[in-house]
Amino acid sequence: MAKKSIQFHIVTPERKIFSQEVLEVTVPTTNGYVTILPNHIPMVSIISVGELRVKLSDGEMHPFAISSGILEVQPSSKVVILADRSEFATEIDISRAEEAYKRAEEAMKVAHDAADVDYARFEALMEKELNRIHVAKRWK
Amino acid sequence: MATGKEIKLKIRTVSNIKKITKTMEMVSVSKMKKMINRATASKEYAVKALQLLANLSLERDISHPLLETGKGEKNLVVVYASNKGLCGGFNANLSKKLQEITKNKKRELEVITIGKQAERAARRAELNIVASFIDFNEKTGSDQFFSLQKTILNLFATGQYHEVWMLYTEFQSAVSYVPVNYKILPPDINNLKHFFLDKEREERYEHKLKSLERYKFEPSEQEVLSKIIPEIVHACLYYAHLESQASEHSARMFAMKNASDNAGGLVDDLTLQYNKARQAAITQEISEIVGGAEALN
Repeated sequence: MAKKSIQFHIVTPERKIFSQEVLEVTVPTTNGYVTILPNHIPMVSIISVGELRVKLSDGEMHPFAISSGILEVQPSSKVVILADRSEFATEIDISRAEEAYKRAEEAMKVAHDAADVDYARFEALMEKELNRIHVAKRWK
Repeated sequence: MATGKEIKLKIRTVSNIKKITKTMEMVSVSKMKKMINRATASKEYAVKALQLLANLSLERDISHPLLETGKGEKNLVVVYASNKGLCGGFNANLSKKLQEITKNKKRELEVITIGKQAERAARRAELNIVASFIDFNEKTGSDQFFSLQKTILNLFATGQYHEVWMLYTEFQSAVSYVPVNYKILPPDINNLKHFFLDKEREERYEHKLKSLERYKFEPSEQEVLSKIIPEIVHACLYYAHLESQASEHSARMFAMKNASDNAGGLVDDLTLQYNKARQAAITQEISEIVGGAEALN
């Protein structure tokens, strides 16, 4: 049975972010951006840092900043995203994101001499914050 | 018999205690509500993550180092309890359960404790404590649980453990919370199913498993599983924390409610005692005056 829309959910460990019928979803995966249309084959993929775009049933684009997580395309046009963290673009507080970015940058400088693990962690944190800033600015 | 002044002092002390316990009760009520809301919100994620693994494992034989039992002889248990006391039987029940598990164990146990009271319970059960986390509270967010998740995954990766379990207090309703234990590594769908799903959900879930199609993995099965399994462990750990917190605050609420009620009763008793003492003093004085007057006549 062919469907014309996707049942789409974004959940994080803290709360359910989004749950609606949508037309298409564009997801940043580790293999690059993937657009999922209704009746996509079942698939599981890993999400990377980037911008997630959802086309609502009225054709409007709904952008999210997303850091990492898992994408599951279930049979019969159901898409579930398990995200570590995700926010609706216009809900991001840019000045606070910039502050967090600076904090991560400073922490990274301090960690420079310390263990590689710390360094990598702060680098990932910086990337996430930078992504939030970019996404928020683009959709302002 | 105590003098009026002494009793009055006691009444004041008891009413002050009552004020404190009443406040603590109110605080616990609001914290409990908050924790229940957060637990409900977090459940969605955990259920979805678990369903994903269930979908994958039913469809084909997936294999991954984290899906196999470890080579080690020992089992690792993550124990959740509170940092603070004054919460009724909350910690005592958990400690009892831990001792019961220790007694019936088939394998050597080692523990990771969360909360000071959990550490104490583990000591009492004479278990080896591998790590102790004492800075988790009701404000702790999910990202702070990555440190715990990493610790567990690293320990499991060393191969010195057979399985990893967790022991926490499950919040069933505002009046009932019981200590439960679940296996988290390797994740066992049948065991964890009861952890996340209530009766109604379970039926829907069974139904869903029948209509499966083949999943495509991108970039590869191993990479995807390496991402999903730690996520599930993380979700379980976080959810258990929220449940444990909800139970703790609920237990504290009842403990404080009882304390306030008892204090109220005590104030009533003491007031009666005070009135009697005062009446006795007056009677005595009158009879002294009357006695004195009679002596003059």
